Amino acid sequence: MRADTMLAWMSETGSGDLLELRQRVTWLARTANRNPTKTEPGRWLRDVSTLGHAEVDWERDRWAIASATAVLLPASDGTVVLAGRRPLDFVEQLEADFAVHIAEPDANDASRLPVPSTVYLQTESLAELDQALRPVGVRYVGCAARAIAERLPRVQLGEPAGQPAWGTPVEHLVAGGGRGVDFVRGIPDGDGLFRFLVNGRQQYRYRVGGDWLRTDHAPGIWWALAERREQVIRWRRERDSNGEDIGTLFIDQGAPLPPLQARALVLCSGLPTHLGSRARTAIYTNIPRSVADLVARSVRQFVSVID
Amino acid sequence: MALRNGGAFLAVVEMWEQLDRWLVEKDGAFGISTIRAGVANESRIGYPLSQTLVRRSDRAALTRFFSTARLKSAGVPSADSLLRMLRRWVTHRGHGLTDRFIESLHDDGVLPILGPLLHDLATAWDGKIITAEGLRRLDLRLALDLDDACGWWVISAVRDLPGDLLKGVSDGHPFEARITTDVHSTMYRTEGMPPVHASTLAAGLAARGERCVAEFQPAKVLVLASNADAGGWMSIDSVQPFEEHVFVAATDAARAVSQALRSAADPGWRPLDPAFTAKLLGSGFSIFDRVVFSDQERLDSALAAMPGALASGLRRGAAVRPRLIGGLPIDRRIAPNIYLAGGEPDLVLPVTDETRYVEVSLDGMASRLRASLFPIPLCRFQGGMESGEHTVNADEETLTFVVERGSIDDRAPENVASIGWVEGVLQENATDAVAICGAMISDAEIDRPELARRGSALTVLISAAGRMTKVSDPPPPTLPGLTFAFFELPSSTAVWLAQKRTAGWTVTKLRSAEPAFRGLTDADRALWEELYVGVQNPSPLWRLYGRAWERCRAR
Repeated sequence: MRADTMLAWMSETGSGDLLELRQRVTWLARTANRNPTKTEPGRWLRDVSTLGHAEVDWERDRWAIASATAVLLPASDGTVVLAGRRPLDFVEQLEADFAVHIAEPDANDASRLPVPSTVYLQTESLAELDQALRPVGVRYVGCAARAIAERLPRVQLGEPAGQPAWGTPVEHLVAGGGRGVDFVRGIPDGDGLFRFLVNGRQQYRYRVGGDWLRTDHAPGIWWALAERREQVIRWRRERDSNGEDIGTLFIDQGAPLPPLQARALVLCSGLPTHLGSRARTAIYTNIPRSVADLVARSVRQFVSVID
Repeated sequence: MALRNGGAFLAVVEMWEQLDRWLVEKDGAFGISTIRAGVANESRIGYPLSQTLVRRSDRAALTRFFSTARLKSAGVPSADSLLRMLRRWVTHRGHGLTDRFIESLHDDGVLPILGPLLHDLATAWDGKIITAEGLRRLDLRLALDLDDACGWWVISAVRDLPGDLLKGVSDGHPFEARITTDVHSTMYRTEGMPPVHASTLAAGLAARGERCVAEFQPAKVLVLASNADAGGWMSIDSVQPFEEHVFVAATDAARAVSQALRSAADPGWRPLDPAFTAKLLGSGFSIFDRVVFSDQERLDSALAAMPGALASGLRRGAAVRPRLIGGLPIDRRIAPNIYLAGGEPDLVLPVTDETRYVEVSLDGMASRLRASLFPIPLCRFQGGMESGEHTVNADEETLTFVVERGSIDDRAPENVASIGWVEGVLQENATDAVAICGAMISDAEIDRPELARRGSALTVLISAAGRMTKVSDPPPPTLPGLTFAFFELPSSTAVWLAQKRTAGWTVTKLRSAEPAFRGLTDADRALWEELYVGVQNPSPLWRLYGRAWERCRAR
């Protein structure tokens, strides 16, 4: 799938409803002989949102493209990555004035639809880059990864809500014990995260004693992991940059980060979440230890440092 | 002939023409006539014949054809084209046209009258599908929930029909059902519809009200697709390539269906447990789920191998005229046929029971393509399409579309960055609040770290006190495919960056601060001596630092 074309269409369209966008993504994938599963277009949208290209409001079924920005990657020697609006031919225009490097997504990755290519710009002066990008409508925003990490809301449970109706098929979260994070049928005794379908959409409730509290997929899972003292975030040091440790962060698959947490990590490299198939982990590279700590704290976790 | 030459029948002709003039004068208030002057000149009985060729029930059935031919959205084609499309359409079962009308479609003696008549009816069509009694015709469709093993009836809502009380008989029992529009759904809300029975699936079901008739036409094979408004799987008119389907097949057709699925469907389809199917629909049916067709060759071959009636049931609602679908349209407020380059639309060709090859020309370049349920992606046109207008000719119809590399409106589209995070919650149009949108954080300080060139013999930071701090090249980052000619300097209050390279020293001003030399070490002094001689920097500030060093050295 030519994901850059899809991003260009979103850039020309501005905003819209998710149903149409998913249909367009599905259509484009099929023109490349790829028939996506029902969940793949949604996952593609999550990837695009994580990369900072667009905001996706699943609750209201809306999406909107983000403004074109140049994002400084942490500890990356002045390398910036483009995020947000990117019409056709836009990168080619930049190539006339900037050192541009394009990292194409892995076309052989059968597990996901290809995301838009990562466009890096390099310079000898970020102040000059800032000035030069303004006339073409790109805002230099500094290190968005750190800025977002410093503003992450802590996951919390919502207000009390009704419990699932009698007879509604309900699934509950099981986590740990080497089986990752998964949902299985039934309502066991005790507190925990539950989900059930209402009008075709998953609803999440966290049971605390006799109360059922409203929550969502990601915050519900992280709350449950914290309550069970399951640590699923690991970080391995790779190098030092000006006194700060930079490394790779691993998260057990099935524990999906909330969108802003994921964006804070992805904007450290400009690359989408890499899913390691062997160890069932989500992998983020070029992560400063401080960003790892902020993200972990926001989801009630500690970073386990590994060798 | 003698009578005719003598002027017989001319009075009748005059009467028809008067009637036509009167109807025109009344501006359609009493309907329009379909008589045509040209026809009468060739055959004096043309006027009355034109009024009897198309019976009331035919007119009603033709409204369904007009809807399928998308006359309201795509315009009315020529009479010849309409006749061709209609001949194609009547190969599908359940068209509702009389045998006499069908015969006339192939009667060369009648076609000169029928063609213009059909064209007039098409032009005058108000967009509503009606029955012979003039009632709105609604499609009653089967809906299934395979998780909860239940079935029910759904009716797609039409505009200007807010509701009705429907009556009918199902499985020998009379019923009354009320339909009302639902603002949250494209389906009517229904109360009182009968349960889904094997007998109604086999025999059909009709529910009649004062303003509409809802009909379910029985078929040996029903194709269902997921529909959120229906709340489950809903019967549709045609197999959709790539989409997941559920097939409901009468027992006597199940074997042929199973055979077709084995050769044409993607792996993963399965017949449901007969006990489950019996619980859901009663006896006499089989259900297959997870049915997906994503291989054109295999689907075409399987349809060709199926009994005709079964095969046509799988493509009942297929297109009757070429059309463009999909694509990535832009500037839709300006025109509906402008597409982003690389997002050109697909071409759908009408399919018939026979294998059909169609001459398709794109911008004058002709190809012979096999008509199929699978659309033809024009975006795979070799080398990509140039910006500008493009023309597709197929089945004597011309379709045009425009390709652009961006919006023809050079203003940024509305609603860019219209959704953002405010205190961890997504909001629309949160422009005034402190928000995160994409990578833009409204209250963030923007950092611009200073960079130094890698590979220098010596890199030092010089403070306002004249002190030197040596900096080593850090290990380079590991980002895919990138090489790094520079590195980030640690944050400091240094005023100058000095680097010794093969060509000599370079100094770069990092900030403005007057020199206040103090506490220089021997190493600082040695470097200053070297810099004082080696650096030719035109900056007035550097000259100030040079004088400060002169004073310091003299002390």
